[in-house]
Amino acid sequence: MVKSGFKLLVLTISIALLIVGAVGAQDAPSGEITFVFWDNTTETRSGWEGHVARFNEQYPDITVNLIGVPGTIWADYLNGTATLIAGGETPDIIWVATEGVRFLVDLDLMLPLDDLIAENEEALQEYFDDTAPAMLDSFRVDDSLYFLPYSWNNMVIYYNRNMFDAAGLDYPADDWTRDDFLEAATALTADTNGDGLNDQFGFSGSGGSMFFTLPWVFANDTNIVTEDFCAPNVTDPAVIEAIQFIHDMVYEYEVAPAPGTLTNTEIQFINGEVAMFGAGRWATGGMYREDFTDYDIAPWPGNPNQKTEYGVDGFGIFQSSQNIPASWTFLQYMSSAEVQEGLVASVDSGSPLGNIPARRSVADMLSQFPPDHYQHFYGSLDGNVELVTSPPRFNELESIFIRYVDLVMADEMTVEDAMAAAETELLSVVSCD
Amino acid sequence: MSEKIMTYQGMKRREMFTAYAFILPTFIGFLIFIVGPMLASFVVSLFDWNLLTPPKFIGLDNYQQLFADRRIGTVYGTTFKLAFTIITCNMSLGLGLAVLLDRKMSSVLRNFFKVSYFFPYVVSGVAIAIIWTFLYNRDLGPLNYYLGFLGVERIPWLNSSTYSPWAVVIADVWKNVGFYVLVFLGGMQAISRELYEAAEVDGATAWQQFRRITLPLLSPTMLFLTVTSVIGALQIFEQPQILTNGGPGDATRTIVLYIYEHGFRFFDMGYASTIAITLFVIILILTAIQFRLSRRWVFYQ
Repeated sequence: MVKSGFKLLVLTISIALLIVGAVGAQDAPSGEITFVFWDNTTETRSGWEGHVARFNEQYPDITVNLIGVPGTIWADYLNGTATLIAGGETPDIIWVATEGVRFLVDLDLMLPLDDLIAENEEALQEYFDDTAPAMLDSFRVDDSLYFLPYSWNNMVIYYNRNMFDAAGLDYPADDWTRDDFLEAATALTADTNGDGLNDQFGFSGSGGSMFFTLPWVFANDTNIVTEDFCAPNVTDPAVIEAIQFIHDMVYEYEVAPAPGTLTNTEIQFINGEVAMFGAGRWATGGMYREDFTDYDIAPWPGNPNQKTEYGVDGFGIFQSSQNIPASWTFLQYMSSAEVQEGLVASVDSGSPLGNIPARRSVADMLSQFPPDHYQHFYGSLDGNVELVTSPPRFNELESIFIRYVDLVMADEMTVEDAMAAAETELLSVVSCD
Repeated sequence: MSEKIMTYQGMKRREMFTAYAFILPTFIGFLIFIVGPMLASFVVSLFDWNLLTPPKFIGLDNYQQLFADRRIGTVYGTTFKLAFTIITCNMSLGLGLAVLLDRKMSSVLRNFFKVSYFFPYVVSGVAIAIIWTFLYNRDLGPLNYYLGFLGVERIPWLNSSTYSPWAVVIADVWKNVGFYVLVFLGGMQAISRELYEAAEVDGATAWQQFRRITLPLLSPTMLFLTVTSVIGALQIFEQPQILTNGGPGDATRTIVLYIYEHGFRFFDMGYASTIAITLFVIILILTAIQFRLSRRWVFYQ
């Protein structure tokens, strides 16, 4: 009797455990999901693989397949992703930056995350409190949030402290203007070997791509399209003035090298051939690798507005995803402080190399590394920032705009003519009809 | 008697079967990789398709867009200018070098030259273009360095509408001229030596021999090279893509770069296919014209 009672007990417990297990299995998401990322550096894949491995320690039932899409520029990545979707692949999650947000959302490809967020509001509250509104706003279209911010960049001025010291110049003040900048750049430009040509430059690296050109435009408190993305605005006198300044740095003030002159701005900055350049935090990676620490960063010079450009990246879920629960679990994990901490040590941590973490608390950890004024990264969000101009047809906008900026920078077209021609071409691209 | 004929025909049939079996793999490849995509791109040209959402049938709208496209004329202009310059340089330089190599010299020396000229042809065009971007660098490039000794000011090879097309031409000719040399040389060595000996007996000068014997008998070779090089040069892509990315402006934007831009930058497969079809038609017409004209200037021995 005792024996059979024991048997019954074991059976009951077993059944109970089985039921609990089954219910538990139903609750915990499982299965396969596919994650698409931009495979643009040698460390990128291993970085994501590391995150997936740590994710699997907590969620062993979810298999994350990684698809790396190669490409040297942003458009390559987006196009590669489009091609694999056209080829029948149905990825669940995508890593994407500001430039591609409106494109993907306007095609109805992305899942609005609002309902999922509402279900997990409590758990996510800490993430939303820690992430600047400017990050989240950049991923909102028509009041719906489509991506969870992961990392970002703003444009700042990097300066070589040795060169400033050698020239007897004060380091840039936080509220410096474009005139101060130009003054410093002029003092830092020199013909060191006396062959009649400058070989040391005050500044390098504007023109060539949208992200590098726009800060000058934003500092003039304008933009190359209207605020509603419905019309181009490149013939605005303030835009023309900004482009003219980029041109004049090369041809009038002669403080910047002509296009096609330098092979690698960052290396030449380290070598003391370029005193200042504009970039996001990604540039710290190269200097870390070269063990170069005699540099610092300053906010973008105001004219008179102290305003700079930023761009955000994050993760979103495709509407076509067959496994939204697992995808959402992965997205939440990727938004954790633990994952973003990988961005701080930048070089060995994987993708995207050396960006600024989206969480303020994690961004504070940047104090461990140069530059000293690291707070100009996250701190810029407290001031005046503008999102990189990214209407749905971003690729076309950039291609047209940069094609004409190139002609200006080759000194073959006046800024007025170039921008007038660009405006004509942009009419069909930046439009709400 | 009739039995014998039957066997002969049977053999012939078997031979024909073998022949077809041999060309079948190429033919299948041609169908899958050439004819298929060609037909597909014609169909796609009738659609608005961004790869990500289902294609939308829009009839001839893409063809209408061709006429409103302000850039396509410029781009075709650039393409023709580049193609013409490249073909002229390759043909004349290739012929000149082949004539020099066809002289009496040790076979070791001749093979050395042949290999030297032909070598760049087998190297990937992308790798060559990357190397040339270093050579062309305005301030650090060896090209400007050596030109500096001649008193030439630094030339912005890749950033000027005047020089960048030449940068593309130089890189292309350096890569491809070896092929022309080799084909011309092959053509020359096929010409019977007796003709030259007879001409010499008649007192013909070297120039007369070249003008009256070599050139006419090379005409089939020239036809082959012209037809293939026109087709190739109109489709030039990797050199301008890597050297200049088509710029500055549209100074080195060839039609294939333009197709690529619309298809793979702007997600407009329909319009990209439409432009591709205009290129197909243009190449078809040019090739037909060349074959028609060839009747007047090509001599077969």
